[in-house]
Amino acid sequence: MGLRDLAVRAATARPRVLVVEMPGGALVRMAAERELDRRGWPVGTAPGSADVLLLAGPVPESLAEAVGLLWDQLPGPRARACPASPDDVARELDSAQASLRDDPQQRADARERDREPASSWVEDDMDHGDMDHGDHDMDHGDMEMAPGGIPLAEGDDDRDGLEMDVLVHPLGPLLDRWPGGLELRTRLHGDVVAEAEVHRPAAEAADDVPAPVATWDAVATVLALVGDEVWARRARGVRDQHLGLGYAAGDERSVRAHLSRLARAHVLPHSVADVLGRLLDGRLDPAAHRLDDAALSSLLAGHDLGDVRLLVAAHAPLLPLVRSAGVGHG
Amino acid sequence: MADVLAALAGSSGVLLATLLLAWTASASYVVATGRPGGDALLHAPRETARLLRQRRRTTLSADRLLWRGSGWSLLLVAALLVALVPWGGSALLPGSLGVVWANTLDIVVWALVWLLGWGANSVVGLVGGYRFLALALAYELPLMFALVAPALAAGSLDLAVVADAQGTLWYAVWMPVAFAAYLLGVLGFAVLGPLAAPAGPETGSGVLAELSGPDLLVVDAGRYALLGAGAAVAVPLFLGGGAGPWLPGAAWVLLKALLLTAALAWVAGRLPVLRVHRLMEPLWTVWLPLVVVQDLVVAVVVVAGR
Repeated sequence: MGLRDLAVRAATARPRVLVVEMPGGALVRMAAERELDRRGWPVGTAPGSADVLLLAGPVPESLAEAVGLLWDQLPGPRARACPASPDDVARELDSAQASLRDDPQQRADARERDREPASSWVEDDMDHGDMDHGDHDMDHGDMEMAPGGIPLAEGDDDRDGLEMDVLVHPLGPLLDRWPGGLELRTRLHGDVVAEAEVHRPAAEAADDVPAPVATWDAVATVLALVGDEVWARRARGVRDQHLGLGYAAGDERSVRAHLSRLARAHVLPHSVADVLGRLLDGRLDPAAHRLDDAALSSLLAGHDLGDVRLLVAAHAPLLPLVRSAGVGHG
Repeated sequence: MADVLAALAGSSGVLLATLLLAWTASASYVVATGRPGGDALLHAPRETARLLRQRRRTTLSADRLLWRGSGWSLLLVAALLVALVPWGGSALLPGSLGVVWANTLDIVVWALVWLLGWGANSVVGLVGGYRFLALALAYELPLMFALVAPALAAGSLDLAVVADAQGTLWYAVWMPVAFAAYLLGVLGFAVLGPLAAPAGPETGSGVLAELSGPDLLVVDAGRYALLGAGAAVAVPLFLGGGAGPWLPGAAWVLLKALLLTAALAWVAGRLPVLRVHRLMEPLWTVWLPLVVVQDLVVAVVVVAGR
C-alpha cells in the first residue's frame, strides 16, 4: 500500500477498451458496450492507446493471426478480454482490470516482448534493408524503394484527373465499430477510396439479431462515429429496449429528430441519413434486402475514408456477413 | 536577483494557470459527454496516471523527432498564449503586439498538428494531418478578421490596452460575430468538439492514432490547454480583462477565463464532429463576410466616435 498502489489504482480505474467484434459476435459486442456504458469505461478507437483488447464473440481460426498482430499493437500494460457470450462480459472485464493491476505480471509481459526482435513497438534495425538495395539493378529503382520494408506509393490519376499517390490500405477485419470480420482492401487516392475489394469471413454460427435491434445498433454506431456520444448512448438505450432490456430509458422519436437535424447540418452524409431513415421506417427490411460484395464495393467507391466508415456502419444491418457452410444467401 | 525571482514566479504562475485551464476544459468536456461530475473531475488525473504507466510505442520508420517534438510543443504554445494575457495589468510577456503574437501562436499549431500526423508514418495520421490543414484554411481567416475587431476599436495591438479600452461595455457584447468567430477558431486549433475531425473516431483517431503513453498524454493535455489558453486570451480581447467589482484584476481574469473555458468545452463536448469538406463553403461564403461586416461596423463606430 502507498503512493505506488494509489497510482496503479488511478491508472486502471477507467481502462480504455478497444472493442472488436468477431464474425457472429454482434450480440456480445452490444452487451460489452452496455457494460462499458454502465462502468463509464471509455471505448478506444486506436490500439495504440488502448489498455484492454475486447474480442466480442469466439475468435475463428482464420482470424487468429490477425488478432495476434492487433494484440502486438497494444503498448502495454495490456489485457485481453474474450467474452464468448453476452453473459461473460462483466466477468471478463473484471479479470482484464485485475490483470492490468497485476504489476509483476505486466512487467513479465513487457520483458517477454522486449526479447521478441520484431515486436511492432521496438524500432527495427533497418540497416540491412538499405544495404540490400544497392544490389538491385537500378532500372526500376523507384518501384523497389522500400524504406523500412514499406514499398513507396505508386501514382495514379484520381477522380479529378490529378496524379495522386495510391496507397493500399486495409479496413478491417479487426476494427472498432465495424461489422465483425468484414475486410475491405481499399486503394486510396489521398483519403478517397478509389476501389474496395470486399472479403467476408466464414463463421460457424449466424448472429440472430432482430431487425429493429440491428437498425438501432447501426444508428448508435453511426452516432458514435461522428463523435456524438450523448446521442449515441441514447440510441444504444433504444436498441437495448428492443433487446428486452428495459432499464435504459430511450426515446425513439427524439433520437430520430436528432438524426434529421444532423442530416440537415451535413454532419451525416446524405446517403447515410437516407439509409438509416428507410431502415427506421421499415421501408428497408434487413431480412429481405441484402447487399452482396459487388453492391457494397460500388457503394463505397469514390467516398473518403470517414464517409466509408459511416456508410459501412449504416449498411451493417444489410450485410450478410456470415456465410456458414449450410445456409446459402442470395 | 529580484528580477529573476519575479520571472520565475511569473513563469510558474503561467504554467499553473495553463494546467488549471486544461483541467477545467477536460472536466467540462467529460461532463458534456454525459458522465457524472466526480468522474469528470477525476478524468484528467486518472488519464495522467494511465498514460504515464503506459509504454511508449513507435511505428516503422516514424519521423520521431518531428512526431514527438510537435506533440510536446502543443503544451508550450498553450503556455505562451497564457503568458500573453495581462493578469491584472502585467503580463509575463507584455508587448505592444500581443494580438499579433496570439495570432502567430495559433498559426504555429498548423505546423504542429500536421507534423503530428506526418511523423507517425501512418495512413490515418496523414489523412488526419491533411484534414487539419483543410479545416485550418476554413477557420483561420474568420479568426484573423475576428482579431481585427477589438484591436481596431481599442486602436492598439497591445492586449492590456485592448482590455482597458472596453470600460463597462465589453467587446463581446457589441461585437458578437467577432467573438463567436474567435471562439470557433479556438475550437479549431484545440482540435476539439465540432472541429475535431483531424482526430475523429471515424478515421481511427487520425493524428492521434499511433500515439501512446506520455506522448499521447502531452497531446491530449495540449489540446485542452489550447482551448483554455484561447479562452484566456479572449478575456482581455472581448471580456473586459480584469475589470470587475470587489476582486483584484488578476482574480477576475482567472475567473472569467475559467468560466469561458468551462462553457466552451461543454458546448464542444455536446456537438458532433463536422465533416471537413462541408465546412469550407459556409465558413468562407457566409461566415467570413459576416465577420468582415462586423469589422466594418466597428470601424464606423470608431470613426463616428471621434
